Amino acid sequence: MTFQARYSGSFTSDDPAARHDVELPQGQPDRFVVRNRTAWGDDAAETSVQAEWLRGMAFDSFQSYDQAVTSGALSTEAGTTNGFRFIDEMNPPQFAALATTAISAAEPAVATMADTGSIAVGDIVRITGSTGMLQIAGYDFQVDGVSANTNITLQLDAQNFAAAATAGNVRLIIPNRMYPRYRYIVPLEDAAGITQEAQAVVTFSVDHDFSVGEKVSFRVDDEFGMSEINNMVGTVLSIGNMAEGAVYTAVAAGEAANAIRVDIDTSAFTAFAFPTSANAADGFQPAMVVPAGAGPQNGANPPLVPTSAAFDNRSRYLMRIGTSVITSAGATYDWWAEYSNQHEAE
Amino acid sequence: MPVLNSAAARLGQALRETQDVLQRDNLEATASIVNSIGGVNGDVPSEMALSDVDEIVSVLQQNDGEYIMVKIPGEDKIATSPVGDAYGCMCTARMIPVLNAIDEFTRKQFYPNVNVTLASEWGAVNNVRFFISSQGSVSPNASLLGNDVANCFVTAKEGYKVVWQAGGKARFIYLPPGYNNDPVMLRHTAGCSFYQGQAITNDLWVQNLRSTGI
Repeated sequence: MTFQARYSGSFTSDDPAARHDVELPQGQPDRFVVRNRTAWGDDAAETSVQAEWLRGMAFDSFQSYDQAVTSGALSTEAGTTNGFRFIDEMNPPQFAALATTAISAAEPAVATMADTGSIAVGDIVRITGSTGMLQIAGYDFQVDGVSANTNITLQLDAQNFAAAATAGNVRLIIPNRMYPRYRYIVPLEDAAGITQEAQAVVTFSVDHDFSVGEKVSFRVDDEFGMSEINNMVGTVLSIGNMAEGAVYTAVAAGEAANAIRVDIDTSAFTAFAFPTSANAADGFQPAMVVPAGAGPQNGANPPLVPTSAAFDNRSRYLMRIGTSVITSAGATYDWWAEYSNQHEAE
Repeated sequence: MPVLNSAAARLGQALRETQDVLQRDNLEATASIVNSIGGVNGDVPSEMALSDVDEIVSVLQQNDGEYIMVKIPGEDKIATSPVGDAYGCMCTARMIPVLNAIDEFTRKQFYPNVNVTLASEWGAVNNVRFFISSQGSVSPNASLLGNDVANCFVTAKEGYKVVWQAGGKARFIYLPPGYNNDPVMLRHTAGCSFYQGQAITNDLWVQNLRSTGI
């Protein structure tokens, strides 16, 4: 049987070992194989020295070979969690809601969870039903830390919220990657959400993909205090990260960034502040930044319009390889994806 | 060649739906969010109500957004009702029960003249006319209570546009047997391709009026 296509590659696993996403040039493969090149045949005990997923198997499942110490003898295993999952970012999978029993009114906010599922650092989660902290219900947050089956840390400074949440749901989501994308404004790392200064710094609940020179527009209703900035358009002067103590540091293009600095003087504006949980229950409009164009770039000579802000569909096909497959830290893994001319499931 | 014609028709539908999906996702990623709060279901956003529709019209008017559609004047026809100048709202077909429940909502069949309407139009209320699609945007589990949220894009004239590339018009591509590793010439393939770019021409003229109740 000839194959319609066969793609391959390799990567080095993280230390400590963590899940890994392989980007595929086309859709769901019929067979996906991962082999631990570093551990193969080294006579040390190794779980999942080779693992694979076949069309028809459930997502997150896997079939693998474990390697015995000294003899190197292989034995087979099958699992149903933290295996392989194919992700089409234009049509992402939906995940079950996981309960949280508390979200702390602290910096950073920590959600207590008896089951953290497959949530990992860098994932985006959606909070709903956050009793006592309804002002964040429906918001998406980036996960900055995970203590498995204990808690997750949200990209949120909730120290000035009146009370902690006493219940709620946390759901892993995979947003489509239409670029650029709006972002919710939230307090972060002792900064208010929108600082009051000559060139305001704005922090977000999820790392953004805005670029320098891009135009952004603000949507800030009265409930958030700084309504003077509502519908104003600013130019992104720099992208960066807000760290503890409200310290903003610019970063280079392409690096992870949770904040932007814009050319809007907010020194005399009303302070930005989240509404209360009670106000949120009555209904409110979220504070957000939306993309608003790309130029011309301030002060550029000759004049130019940065094309980096142009709309783009950056959605990908991914094979997510979980920690039941990637069991070695700092190891070289080879992978190959096979696509059949014809697949018959009888 | 009836089989090829049938394939072309199906591919044409797939092509157009793909174009709609790309534009839909672009709007979902960039449009300003306005939560419906006029409903009574206790969620945020609530189900869309007349006050929410009027609020969106007010926002677009204050932003100098021009109406897309001209009014349909009243005629001497029983049970019909004139339709005002209107912005366009594109939403999921799951919004049908919510739309039907909005006060003073006029279904398309009660327009004075339906000859100027599209098949996808469902109805109108005040200065917004609603168009539904099975491909409409829905954010799963995104409300305060964890319910699905319909993203209803209300747009003024020239709020957004689609960019076509010269030489990139939609093409129907047919390859006869013998291509694609087919040595015994048994298989032929059909496909379509197109180039498309999206652009928001004025972010103030495109609003995402979100609603639950779907």
